[in-house]
Parts: sequence; structure tokens; C-alpha cells
Amino acid sequence: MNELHSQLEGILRQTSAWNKLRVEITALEENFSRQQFFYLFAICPRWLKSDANSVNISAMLDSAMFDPFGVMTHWRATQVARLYLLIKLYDYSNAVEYHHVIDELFKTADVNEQILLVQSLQFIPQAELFVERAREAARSNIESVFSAVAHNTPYAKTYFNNDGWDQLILKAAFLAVPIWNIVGLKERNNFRLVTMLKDYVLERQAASRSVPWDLFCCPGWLAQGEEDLQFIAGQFQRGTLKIQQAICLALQENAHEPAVYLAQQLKTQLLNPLDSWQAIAELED
Amino acid sequence: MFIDPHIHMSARTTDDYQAMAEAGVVAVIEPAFWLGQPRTSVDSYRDYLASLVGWERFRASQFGIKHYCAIGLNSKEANNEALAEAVMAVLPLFLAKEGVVAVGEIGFDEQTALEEKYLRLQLELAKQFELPVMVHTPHRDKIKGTLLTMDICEEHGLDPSQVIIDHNNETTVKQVLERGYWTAFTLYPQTKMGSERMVNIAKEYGAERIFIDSSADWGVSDPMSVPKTANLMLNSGISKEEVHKICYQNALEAYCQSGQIEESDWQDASFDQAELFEGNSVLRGQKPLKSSEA
Repeated sequence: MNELHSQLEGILRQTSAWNKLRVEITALEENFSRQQFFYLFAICPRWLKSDANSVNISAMLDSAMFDPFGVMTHWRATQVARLYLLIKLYDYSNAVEYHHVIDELFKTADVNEQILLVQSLQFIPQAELFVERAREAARSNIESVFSAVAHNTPYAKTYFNNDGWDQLILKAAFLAVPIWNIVGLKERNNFRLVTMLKDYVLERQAASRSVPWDLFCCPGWLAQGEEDLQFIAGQFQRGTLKIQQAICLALQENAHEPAVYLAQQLKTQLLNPLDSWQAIAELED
Repeated sequence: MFIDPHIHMSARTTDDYQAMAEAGVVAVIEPAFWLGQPRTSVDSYRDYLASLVGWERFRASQFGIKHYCAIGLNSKEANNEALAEAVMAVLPLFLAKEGVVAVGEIGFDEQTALEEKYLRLQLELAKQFELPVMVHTPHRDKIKGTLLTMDICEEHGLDPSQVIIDHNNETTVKQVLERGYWTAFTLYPQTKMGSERMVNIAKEYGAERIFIDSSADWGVSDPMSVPKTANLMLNSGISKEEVHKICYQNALEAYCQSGQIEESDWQDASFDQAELFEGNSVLRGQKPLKSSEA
């Protein structure tokens, strides 16, 4: 954590607001006040507005070590400053205060703050304290807030219980945001989730509405019995090209022989079977 | 292009957003106010303020309208001292947030001692956070309340250019303008100011430091009153330049003092409902609207 903290500080030192920030942070270290912390957290965009495009975060951050999913490479100085403050908060307050203050930040957050707070959960100490806040983000209809917990973070995979995990994936289908690249999708795939997704497919089709193509990786990976395979084969026949590609690849990655056999059969109907999720995602609909 | 600088969109439907966008409203400012009945705890007040900087801002964005807000303790609820104290403690959490363009709407309702106490405290907050002030003038005993509010603002060292006095009428306009304040008029279909009266005021006083708003809320009100009144003004012979000032430019100048609202916010922005938001709560299956189609 200290290493990340140092790297963030190095980035912030390049900003025009650093001196002002440093004075305020020193004052907080000497005499912590919630109100002052809240003020400092909220005021970051105003103070760092002029640095929005001038700080090259990618060049200054050891991404491989601290940001393996590349979240921070899309940030601006404001987000860096806010994460820096959250990590600092852990240093100069006790555990109860730390929890309380971050909880209050969640309760009063604007949309950009919500996104930042959720994205920061993978970087801050004692992140497990904020599972319920992350669950709230996973219930959000604001796509960018939902995506903050669903994409480019191992947080949900690590801390969500089964109920939380299954609802996250189902909600991703509901919001029509990418499912295939949710961290932990294959490791945490399970039969209950597959049933929920299959029901969702049937409900959508009953209403003549489209179904997300990458929803089919989950049932494809776990298809075992005759009924599962029949469902998958039926969906292949009525699906779009992307759905057909997803079904073939998921079955191919299934550990059961009948599923792999079905994949071989279905692939013969594709002109150009693809062997990566990324490649399928890049196909035109 | 129009700005409605005082409207309670939380109480309005998506039909309103759609109609406003079609009529040319590009930005709205939603001041914190009461909900028609008193809140009984700071928690519900905090959630309301959070919705102004969060969900409502987002909801507006789907219709191509930029949403800003003013944060404050309103005069009616200032009379519940326990609630008021607790609300005052949470206001600093919101005042520095993105899109908060003023402290407001604050001022007088019954002109009680408690209302005055919290008006004064919030004027100090406005100075601390370098924000303009949106003043709600009372509907009863209006002249006295308006004059008192201006006296108090000056006592606290606020420059009139930092203060928007709203809900003016024929009896207050002259003195508010003469003292150098932004002078706003709320246009209600049945009560307060009507569009025809506003046309007469514009003819008499011109367009300097005057602007209009709908203050549309959960009651009988019209979120289209700014564009409707603009049309009436044009048809009544008021120049295009003056109408532009009254229905757009002056409000922008008043609130851009916050550093949180500028013309480029909507001139550069495009929106795409499908991209921003799949729309399970707001769109509910209708075809997404792209800015190029709006």
C-alpha cells in the first residue's frame, strides 16, 4: 500500500494543485476533522481542473504491479487525488473512523464520486468493509456506476457471496453491458446462475426481445445433461452470429465430452469459428 | 436555447424532460426545497440532496439536458431547529460537489427568528465555498421579507452580484434592481407571476440582470413556462437579444460565478441514451434517442 501511495503522490506532485493539497493534508494529519476531509475530497475536481489533461498517469504508474486491470490509466488527476486521500485516511484515522468516513462518502456521493469510490475498492485497505456499498453499485441502473464494480476489478469475484455474484451477472445481462470480461466469470460460474440466465433468455424471447450474446458463455461452460445440450443447440439455431460463436466457444471450453462433441458439430455450421472471447466481442452484430 | 434556472425536476416526469428538450431547454438548475410536507429526519434530507447531485443529474442527461443544483436548508424547514442543526452539518458535504452552482434556495417564509438564523449561517457558507446565493422571497409579506433579505445579505458582506433574488413581482422588482441584485421571476400558470405580467415587466425594466424561471414542482406548475414566455415576449415586440438575456444569458452569467456551469457544458456534449443508460427505469423499452435525432 505504501508503494502505491508513493506512486500516487509522485503523480500528484506534477499537478499545479499539489502545494495546496499538501498543506491541507498536513493539517489533517496533525488534527483530523471529518468535515475538512469531506471538503477536501469534494473539492478535488475544482482544484485539479486545470490538470485534467496534462498529467500522464500511465507513464508514471507501475501498472503491472498496482493496476493490473488498467483502471487508473483512464483516470485524471482528480481521481488519483481522491484515491490518495482514501489511502491517507487509513493512515491517520482509526478503523472505526475510516469505515464511517468512507461510508458517509458513499451516502453523499455524486455520480463521479460513486464511480471513483467503487473503482477504488480494489486499491484501498480493508476493502471487505464495503461489500454492501459495492452491492448497491451492482444494483444501480446507472451503467457507469454498475460497470465500476462489474468491470476491470477483482472486487466482486473476491468479496461477493453467491447471491451477490449471481445478481451481478444477471444485472449485467439486464443492462446489456459486457458479461464476458467480468473478472472471475468462469471461476464463479454455477448451476443456479445458469438457471437464472436461461430463464432470462426465455423471458426475453417470449417478448421478442434480443438476448446478449455473451450471456451464453455461462450455460455453455456448464452444460452437461441432454436437456442442457438441447437448450444450447436450440439457442444456436435461432441465435445471431455472435451468439453462435459464443455457444461454440463456451462448449469447447466445457470439461464434459458431450459438450465438446456438440461444439465440434456446431462449428461445422460456422464459416470462421473464433477461438477467443475478445475476437467474438469485436464482431459486428 | 433556454435555461430554466429554478425548477424542481425531481417532482417531474420524463415527459417533461422530453418536452423541455424539444422546446430548446439546454440546462436546468434545481434548488433544494421542501417536498410538500416536512421531512422528519436529516437522513431523508441527506438522501434528497444526494439525489440532486446524483440520480436527477443523470436522469436529465438522458434527455440531453444538463442538470445543476443549489444546495441549502429551505426556510420552511429552518423552523424545525433540531432538523435544521443536523442539516447544517451535512451541507458542507454537498456544497463543493460538481454541478452545485449556488447555496439555495434559502431565505424567508414566515420571517421567524429561526429562519433568519439559518439564512445568516448559510450566507456564511456561501462565502466560504465561494458560491452565489439563490434567495427564495416569501409569498406572504413579500416586500418586507425581500428588503430584509437584501439587508442581511449586505450585512454579511455579500456583493449583490453574488445574489439572485427570486420570486419577484411588480412590487419588488424596482428596489431589487436598484440595489444591484440579479432579479428573477417565477412564472406560474395561476398564481405568482404570469407570462403576460412578465412581458409588461420586461417592457418596463428591460433585460439587465432580469431572468425568468418556472419553479415547476409537485404542484400545479408548468415546466414549459420559460420557452412559452420567451415566445410571448417575442410576439409582443421585445427584441430577440433581450429575450435571449432574460431566458438564457443572464441566468448563465449569474450562476457561472460558481465555476460549475458554463456554456461549453451543453455545446460540446452529445448524449446517447443507449450508451449512457440501458434504461430499465427510465426508458423502459422505448427506442433510445440519440442527440442527432433530438
